This record gives sequence, structure tokens and C-alpha cells, in this order.
Amino acid sequence: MPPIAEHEELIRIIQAALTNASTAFSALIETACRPTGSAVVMRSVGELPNLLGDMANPVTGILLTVHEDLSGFLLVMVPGEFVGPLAERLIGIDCVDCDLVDSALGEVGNVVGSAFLNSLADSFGLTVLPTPPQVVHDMAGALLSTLAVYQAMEGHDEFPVIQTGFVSEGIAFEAYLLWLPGELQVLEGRA
Amino acid sequence: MTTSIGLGEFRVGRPEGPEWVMHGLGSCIGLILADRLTHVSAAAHIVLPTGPGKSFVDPTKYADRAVPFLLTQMRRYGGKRESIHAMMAGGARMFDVPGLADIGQRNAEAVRNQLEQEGIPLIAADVGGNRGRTLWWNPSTGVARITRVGAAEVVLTPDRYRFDPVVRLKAE
Repeated sequence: MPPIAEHEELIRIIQAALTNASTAFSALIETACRPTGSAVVMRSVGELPNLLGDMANPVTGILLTVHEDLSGFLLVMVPGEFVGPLAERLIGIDCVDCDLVDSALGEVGNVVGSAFLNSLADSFGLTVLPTPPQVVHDMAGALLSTLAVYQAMEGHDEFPVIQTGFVSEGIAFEAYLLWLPGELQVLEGRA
Repeated sequence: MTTSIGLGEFRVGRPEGPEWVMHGLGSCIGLILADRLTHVSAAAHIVLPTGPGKSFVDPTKYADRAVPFLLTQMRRYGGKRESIHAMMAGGARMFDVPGLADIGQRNAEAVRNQLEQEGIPLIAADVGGNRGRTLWWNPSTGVARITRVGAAEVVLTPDRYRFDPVVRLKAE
């Protein structure tokens, strides 16, 4: 799908928000992180489950549902092999699917997601209200297909997706942020 | 080598070729119809319980259209309705999000209702819960299996429903 190129100012603001999220991530794990492969693109229902490669890959997904002026889903995904090292970095425990680790991973979603959303909210003078994070450990395709189903329920065969990866320069680590806005036109009208 | 069936897609075929797979079933339903006599089979990756209006675009995206559509396709390959059985997997509740939470359950119910209306016996189902599934179908042996993250593989097809290589009617 081609990038949504006709809204240059909007894309600039979104890129700045992704950089803000990356800075927050860096502070949280105390090592430099940078966004990579950032894009604002239209995706189809069938494409979304494959977005991060093999649908069978185990991941941890941290989902925030966003309400108020901006609605949508914000999903931070950490590939399975990096969950343990991330937990170790955050709280000194390397354990997948433990309550304490889930709580720490939820905080990653809160911090990174809020940094992204607050940046957008500040830029556009909007109010956003994210829900508490839900942490799910499962295959990437199952998490992404469920969000695709929501789009299909809303009658959207194609929808905008804001995506980026985070790579660390200090430790072997990567994560992804996806934002599926309920209505991008709210921002398009203000950019 | 496998044949992947994405959201809303389907396959119909004779007992040959690679295994079919529906990766990452969350709230979606993976439906398999198999004819134990002709060994013709069909599969669909169902996304939603009902389709909009009377449109017949993407029939296997919707539970209320997928079953009759697949039966029609199987008949073209020589499948006989009276010897067809069904299996399904998926319908999970991956996230507690209003509007999304019960879609898996609704998908499963819609498929059950359609199978009942068409008189197709559902011989095995692994639905619900809150974990994703991958559904594999071997069109040559008639065996469906399910894999999940961090769990042992499960064979969905009861032994007596596996394709018997001795008993295979010639598909017309």
C-alpha cells in the first residue's frame, strides 16, 4: 500500500510523536532506542495479521484502547525472544507470563503509548483517554487478526496504520508500536 | 511447504498437495468441511458472523455465507453432501475490549447455526478461551491439528473420521 503522502504536515507530527515514544522507551530501559521503519500506510484487513512477519511468531502484545477526541487502538508488541531480556532490564526478573512481569510490561505500554498519544494531543489540542493496558502473550497473527476483525466489523476493508519499530543500540532488543486510529480525519482536518 | 489461507479466504480441493494452514486464529474461525467418501475437502478462514446486506462478495469472510458457499464448491469437485462432516477452531477472546470481546463467541455460534441449517454434522471443535490457535489440515489424510504458543499440538480429527485410503469413491 502506498504511504499517505498527501498530508505532509500530519505525517511530520506523527513522526515526531513516534520519536517521542522512542525517547520514552529509552528512558524506561536506560539505553538508547531509536525508531526504525516508521510509516503511515493504508492496510487491508487481510494484510494486518502479517504486518510483523510470521503470524505464528510468539509475541507479547500490550494493548491500549483510546477514547475521547482521538479513538483507536495502540499496540506495543515485543517479539517473544526479547520479552525475557526486557523484563530482566525492567525489574531484574527474566520470566514470561508472570504477574509481576506482566505488570512491568503493561507499564511499558503505558509509558511508550502515552508518550506517543500525548505528543499528538499536544500538537492538535485534543484530549485522549487511554484505557489501562492489557498484556497478552500469544502468536502475532492472533493479536493482529483480532484488531483486523474490529476494523472489518466497522466496515473498513482498508484503514490507516501508524507503525514503527524500536531498536536498541545498547542491548539486543526490538519492539514495535502500532496505532490504528479510529478516525484519522480528526487529525487531517487540524494538520 | 504449506498452503496458507488468510482472513476471508478459502480453499477447496481433492486429497493431494501440501497441508493447508490458517495461522493465528484469534476471534476468527477456521472451518473445515471434509467428505469422508470422496475425500474432497474445503476450508475457510471466517472473520465475522454475518455479512452486510445481500452482497455475496467475499462469501467465506462471513459465517452466514461460508457454509453454503463451501458446500457448493465441494459439489463441483464431486463432494457428496450426505458424507460431509465439519470441524472448526478459533473464536477466542484475545482482548477485553467492548465490541470485540464477544466476537469470537458470536462467530462460533454463527458457524454452528449454519452447519445445523445445512444438516452438516460438527464432529470436532476447539473454540473459545483466550489463546490464539493455528489450524492445519492435511487434505490427503483427513487429519486436522491445532498448534498454540507454549502448548502441545492437538489432533482435532477423531480417529474414525480420518480418510480411509481403502474407502474412496471416485469423485465425478
